[in-house]
Amino acid sequence: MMDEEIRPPRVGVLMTGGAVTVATLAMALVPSAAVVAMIGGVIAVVGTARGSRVILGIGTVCQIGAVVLAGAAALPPGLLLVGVLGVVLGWDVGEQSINVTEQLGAGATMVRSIVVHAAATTLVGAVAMAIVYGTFLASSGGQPLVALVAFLGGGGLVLLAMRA
Amino acid sequence: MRERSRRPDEETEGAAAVGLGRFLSVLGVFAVAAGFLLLVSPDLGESLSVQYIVVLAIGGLLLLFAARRWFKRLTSSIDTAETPPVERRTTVSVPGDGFDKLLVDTASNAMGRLQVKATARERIRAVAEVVVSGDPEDIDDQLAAGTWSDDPDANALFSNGTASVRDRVSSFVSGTSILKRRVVSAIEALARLADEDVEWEAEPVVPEVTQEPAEEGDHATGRWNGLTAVALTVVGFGVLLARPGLVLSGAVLSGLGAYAVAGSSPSTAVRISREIQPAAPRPGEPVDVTVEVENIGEQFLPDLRIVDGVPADLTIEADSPRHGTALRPGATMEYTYTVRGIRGSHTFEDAFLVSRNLPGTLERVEEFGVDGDRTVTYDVSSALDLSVPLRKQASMHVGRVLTDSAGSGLEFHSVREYRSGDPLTRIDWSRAARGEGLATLQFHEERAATVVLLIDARKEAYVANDDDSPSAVDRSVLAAAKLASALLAADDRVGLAALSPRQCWLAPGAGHTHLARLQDVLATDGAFAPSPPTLPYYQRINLPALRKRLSSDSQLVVFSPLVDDEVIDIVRQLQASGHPVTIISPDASGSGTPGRTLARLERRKRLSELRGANVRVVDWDADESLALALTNAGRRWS
Repeated sequence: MMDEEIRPPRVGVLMTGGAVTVATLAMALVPSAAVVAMIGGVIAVVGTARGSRVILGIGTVCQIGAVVLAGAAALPPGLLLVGVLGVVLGWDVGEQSINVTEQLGAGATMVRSIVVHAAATTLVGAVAMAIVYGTFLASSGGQPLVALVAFLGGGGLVLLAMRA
Repeated sequence: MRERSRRPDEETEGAAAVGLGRFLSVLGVFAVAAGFLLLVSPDLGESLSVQYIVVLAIGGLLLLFAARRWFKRLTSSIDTAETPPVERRTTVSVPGDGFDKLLVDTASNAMGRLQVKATARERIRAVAEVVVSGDPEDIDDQLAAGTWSDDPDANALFSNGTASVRDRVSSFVSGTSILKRRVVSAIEALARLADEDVEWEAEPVVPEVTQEPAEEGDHATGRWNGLTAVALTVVGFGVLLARPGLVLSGAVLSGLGAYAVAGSSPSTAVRISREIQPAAPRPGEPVDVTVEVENIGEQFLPDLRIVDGVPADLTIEADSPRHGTALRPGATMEYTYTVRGIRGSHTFEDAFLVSRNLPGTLERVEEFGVDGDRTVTYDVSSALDLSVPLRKQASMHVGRVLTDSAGSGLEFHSVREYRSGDPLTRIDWSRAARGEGLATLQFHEERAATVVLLIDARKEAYVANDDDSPSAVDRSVLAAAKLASALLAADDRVGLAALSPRQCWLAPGAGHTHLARLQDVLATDGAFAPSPPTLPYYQRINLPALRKRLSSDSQLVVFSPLVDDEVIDIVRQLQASGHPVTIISPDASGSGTPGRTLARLERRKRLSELRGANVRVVDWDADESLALALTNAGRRWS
């Protein structure tokens, strides 16, 4: 809306908080990563509550940093996947809350817009995670390096070509 | 993919980049497929030997690309369609805000400063004529000599004194131009002399700039633009550090990316209807508006945002005219909000619709026609036990205005010599008994007046004390309705006219039907619409037409906030052509800024000018009832 102050509804803030908490807990085995994730999570929640994309973005970048840290410290892939999904979901719900509040203002009813969007992202993320993790479990041990290279190179190229 | 890229920066990259992108993505898909093959039958890869260094190179490359993507993401932003500001569309201003704006803009250039100086001096001088004690003829001498005020800054505006070094320094430090300070001081000094309160609000109100609502059509939001950067970063580190977890994370992110890219085009297949309750409210009564939305398409609408087209000048009383929801095919949803208007006829506009697809990558903006109720018209009929003091100009019909002509009536007028044919009841019998001959008593004749209510509804008259108050036109129209019903109840004949480029004329008449017609015109006529006219009022064209229509016995009650000198001129002309004028002036002057204070002082000057021109003036405060204002004014006249 045209309000100088964008105050997203509490539902959006709570859901963002939930997602970043899940992300933080998933990384709890690597204390340094968990701390960074927690700080990032708090920043992200504050950003959502204040309707600021910049603050939300800073928080999310912190959390991505935490994911890289946790991954580097060899956190079990299953937990790491949950962590990364939590981070993306936190940002996604935060952004959705901000843009819907931007258009509709704080007084309007908009919970369904946020919840439906969050549910869809959660579902897609969970399915993607299940496929990736399932493949990983089914094939772990003694895979040829060429397969990895093909994966990485190919995936990287697809990502680069993606203009979503 | 190419069709989706509506971001201008990407379009400029040209066809080469698009071709390369397609090539890369095809290559990538092949490589992933090959990877799967190798996973399923590891023997296939045994024959190939690839050095680990290749992996490192790939990791580095991925991070490099990631950095590029990060940069791109950080230099762009997420687009959200701007929605119309339906809550605060007001067409009413506060008198003097224009002057405040002029003062704010002064510092720009020398020509501008000269202009501001000339305007300010002229207006302040005009007010000083009445405010400063002493002969108005000598006002220029007083101003030039600087004897009118104790404030050196205020005096300097007229004495052309050069600014001292100290003044210049303090002006530089405070960021207020010397001219502005002098003008403000002069207004302050005048206001003190006129016993007005001078409390400046911190900053003059500067109207906010509202952005235009988004154009209709599909817009890319660029919402998931950062995902690629994140995925590349995670995978890049995963490769460099040889951590499967990170690489898998990258894969999950790619899955989400694919979901974002695959988002379908949003649909707006809905039916919107509106119900307004009550449709003809009393002045100021809140009105409930219920909006019902139905998904009539086959597609699920995951994210639908509606902004109802609330008319300008209706204020939102409770809840919001905006709503966000998700609708299954065939599902219906409704929401209610409450608005409040003061009077007049208000037409709702089309609803503004934003529909997003599930991942939120595309949004469709549409202005949508709404079925059902469109207008709310405030009823102006309200009975009022009001006695309206009228001028002594009357028609030949019997009524309640005491005239100076002698005849039959109630109030004693004079005694004259008996003429044959005089009614016996009016012979002064006690005088006859004293033997002083026959004489006839005469009384003040009571006649009906013909009153034409003239409402100032020019662009300039759409002003209010502050942004939330009813405009002077609103108050005038409601007052005119009350006055008309009171006058018609007293057997006077009442007509109606608008001082506006949107012409309106209702010839004087009497009776219940006439009252109903008059109220209808006041409620719905375009001349009294809640929003100001776009055209200026041309006295030379519009005034003679009005004068031609006024019968010789009619008197005028003019409703005007007196925000400019044109009304004074018009009133004087009307009075000069034999129509006595009573002016009811709803006070719409604000306070708190120099411009508003100056405008208030100017209005006071106009009021006293009108009183001097033998016009009856009712100064009607915003927080005062019309009946009280009339009673107070009537006491002063009698």
